[in-house]
Amino acid sequence: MAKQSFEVLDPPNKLKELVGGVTRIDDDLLAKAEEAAQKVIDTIDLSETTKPQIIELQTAVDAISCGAEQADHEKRIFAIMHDLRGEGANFGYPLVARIAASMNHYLDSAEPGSRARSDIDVIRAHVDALRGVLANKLKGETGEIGAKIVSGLEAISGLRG
Amino acid sequence: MQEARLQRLSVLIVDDNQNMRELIRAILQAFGVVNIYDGRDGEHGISKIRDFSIDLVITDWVMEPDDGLHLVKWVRTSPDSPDNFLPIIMVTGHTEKARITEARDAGINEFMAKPVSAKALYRRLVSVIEHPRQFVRTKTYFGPDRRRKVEPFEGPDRRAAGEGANAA
Repeated sequence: MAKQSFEVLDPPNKLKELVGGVTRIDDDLLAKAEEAAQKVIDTIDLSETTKPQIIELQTAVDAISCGAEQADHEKRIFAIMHDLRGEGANFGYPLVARIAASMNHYLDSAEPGSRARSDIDVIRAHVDALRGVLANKLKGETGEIGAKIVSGLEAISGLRG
Repeated sequence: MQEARLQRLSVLIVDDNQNMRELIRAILQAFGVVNIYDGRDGEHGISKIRDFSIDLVITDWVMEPDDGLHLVKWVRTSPDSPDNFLPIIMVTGHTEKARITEARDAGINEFMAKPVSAKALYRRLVSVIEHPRQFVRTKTYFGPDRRRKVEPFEGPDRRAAGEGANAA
C-alpha cells in the first residue's frame, strides 16, 4: 500500500476556548455594529482623503507619458486603484469603485510594462474620470451621465462589452 | 449576550488603508472585541504577531511593500510563526475567481470581498469559531482544508498523487 503523501490535522480550536459557548448570528449585535460602521463612514470624505492617491496616479500617468519605464508605474497604479476600488465601495462612491475595477481589469490583462505606449490613453481616461468624480463629490448612484461615462470606460477596458 | 463572548479575543487588522482599518475596528468594537491591533502591511503585521498574542488576523491583500499573501505564507510555514494554525480572514477588493483560488491556496481560512459589512464579517467570525476546518499538509500546501465540507469524494485522490497547490 502506497504511503500517503498528505497529512490531515485537527488543530485545537483556541477561538472556541476563548469565546466559550456557541457564537451565533445576533440581530441586535449586527444592528449595533452596522450603526458603528455607518458612523465611521459618515466621518470619512473620500474626496479629501484620496487626494494624495490621485496626485500619485497623475504623477505615474505623466511619467509613462514622458517615456519612463512603464512596469513599476503600472504596478503602482494597480495598487492605488485596488485600494480605491475597496474604498469607493465602502465609503459611498460606487462610481469610484467601478472606475477602479475597470482600470485594474485592463491592467490585469497584460504583464506590467508589456503594453504599447499608446495604451496610456486608456489609463489616462480612467484617472481623469476618477479625478472628476472625486473633485465633484459624485457620491452614490449619480444618474445617467455618470453611468454612461463609467460604462464607456468599462467597454474600453473590456470589463463589460 | 454575544458581544460578551468576543471580549477575550485579540484581533490583528492588517490594511494599508487607514479608513478601512478604522471601519473594521469600529465593527469589531461593536462586536465586543477589546484587544485590537493594527498593521500597515504584511511585514508590519508579522511584527505584531511576533510581539503580541494574536488570536485572529483580518488582512487586506494588496499592500506595499509586503502584501497579505506574504503574511499568510509566513504564518502558515515559517518556523518563526508562533501559531501555524492562526485563523486568517482575508478582506480584499479582489473578487475574481482566480484571485480567490490564489488566496485559498496560500492558506487563508475565510475570504471576504469588499465592501466590508458587519454582517459579512460576523458570518466569517462565526465560521472560524464554530466551523473550523481541518488542516492539510501536502508537499506544496499547508493550511485549512480547501474543500469546505468533508463529503464523500468520487474520483482520483489527487492529494495522494502528490499534486500541489491546485489539488483541492
